Amino acid sequence: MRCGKSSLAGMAAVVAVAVLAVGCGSDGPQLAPVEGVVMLEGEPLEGAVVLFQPSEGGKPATGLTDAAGKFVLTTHEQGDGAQVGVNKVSVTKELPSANAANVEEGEITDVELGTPARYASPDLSGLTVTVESGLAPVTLELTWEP
Amino acid sequence: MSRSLKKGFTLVELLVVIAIIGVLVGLLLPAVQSAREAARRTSCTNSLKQLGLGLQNYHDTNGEFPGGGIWWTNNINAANFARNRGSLLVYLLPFIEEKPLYDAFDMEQPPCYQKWPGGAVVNGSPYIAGSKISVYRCASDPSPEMNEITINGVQPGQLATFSYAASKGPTRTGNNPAGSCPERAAYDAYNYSTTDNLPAGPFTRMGRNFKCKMEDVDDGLSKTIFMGEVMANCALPIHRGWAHASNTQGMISTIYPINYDTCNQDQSKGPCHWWGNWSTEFGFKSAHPGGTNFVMGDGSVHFFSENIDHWTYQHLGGRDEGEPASLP
Repeated sequence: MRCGKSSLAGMAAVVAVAVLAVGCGSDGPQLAPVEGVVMLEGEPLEGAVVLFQPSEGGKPATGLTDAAGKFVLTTHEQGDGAQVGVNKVSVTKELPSANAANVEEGEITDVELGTPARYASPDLSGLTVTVESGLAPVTLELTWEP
Repeated sequence: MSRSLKKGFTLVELLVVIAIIGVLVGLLLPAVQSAREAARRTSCTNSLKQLGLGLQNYHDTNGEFPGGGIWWTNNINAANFARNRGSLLVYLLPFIEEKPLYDAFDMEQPPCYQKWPGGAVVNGSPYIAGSKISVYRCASDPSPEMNEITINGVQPGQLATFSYAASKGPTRTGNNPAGSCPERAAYDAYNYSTTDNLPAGPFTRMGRNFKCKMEDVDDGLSKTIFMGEVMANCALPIHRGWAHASNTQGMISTIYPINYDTCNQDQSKGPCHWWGNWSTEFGFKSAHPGGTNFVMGDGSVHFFSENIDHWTYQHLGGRDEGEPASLP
């Protein structure tokens, strides 16, 4: 085998280039997994949507609470978390609306909330969470009285 | 050294060559695929440009932009349906060199299920709106070009699909008990308008109540999204073809993030990730990796990343909220 060593070295180089090229896939802001629990007046809140709006700008992450009030945030893929850094947080739970059927005719009913209205806006809720990798489960305590 | 050993290749040499070729093909195939997608994206960009110019020409002729939709209800047996006068894509036809098609419609009647005169069947469809219009379709959109539509038990037949929709900007969408998504209330915090009768963006499905003029776009035509990409089979109303006003043109809102996946046709991925949820289905989306194309009011086309800051996206969607966004 006259050329064995040089072909093996060549192949190794090609494989290295391929591996490096594959490694260039990731882009976009850095995400970190976030999970937690929502409590309203000390009780777990089911069916509420938790939204994390990155303060520095970016795509919001959302999660829906289960019967135990637990949520897991998703930005793109299920459970991938929220953008690293300070996030403004909103918590909303929409109640079924009696007038909802009218939307077919163009009427848009107000959103009826089962959560205090001030938590519906990430800018007004006063809730902020600093997301980083290895973040411990977040507890969001909501109260009806400010 | 015998001569026979010098002839041909050894097994190891052959395997090495095959391995190298395999690695090279492995490198090349994704590159070819992404080149094909880049070509499709360019073609979709070009179509959006045509629509943007068509809107400009419409405004030159009529002194206002067309309404997003002249729409009431989907029930083709009900009295309200008789007031349906089709989508923006019908009114744009004369301005994208499809005037004969526009003239084929009787605009005193709902256009969406009008048949060709004399029972003619053109391209396999008895319906005028069964005509495929290439400028209304993005090649990246994997949805079929024709859909067999059944509404309220009536089967009107094959209608041609579309991939571009007019924007109502950061305007709230309604709720519907038939398909509620809990995230609607969370994204509602980003709205600048709560009524389709006066949308935050340039278009509304309630086109009888609001038609946008250039002077209504205080934030600047070049900084306001007019139309963007959608996927025909990722929202139930959108799959009903280009002439149907339904909840399509002037119903697509920026308050839901770009490329929010609603292509699932049942709720197995949750109440928000399906095509009948009445909220996130009305977001702009495309099959392009990482973002979606939009045409602004001045006819310029931009590709916005799905990672765009959500407030910036609202300010691009709004025509007069007083916060003109700089393009990202």
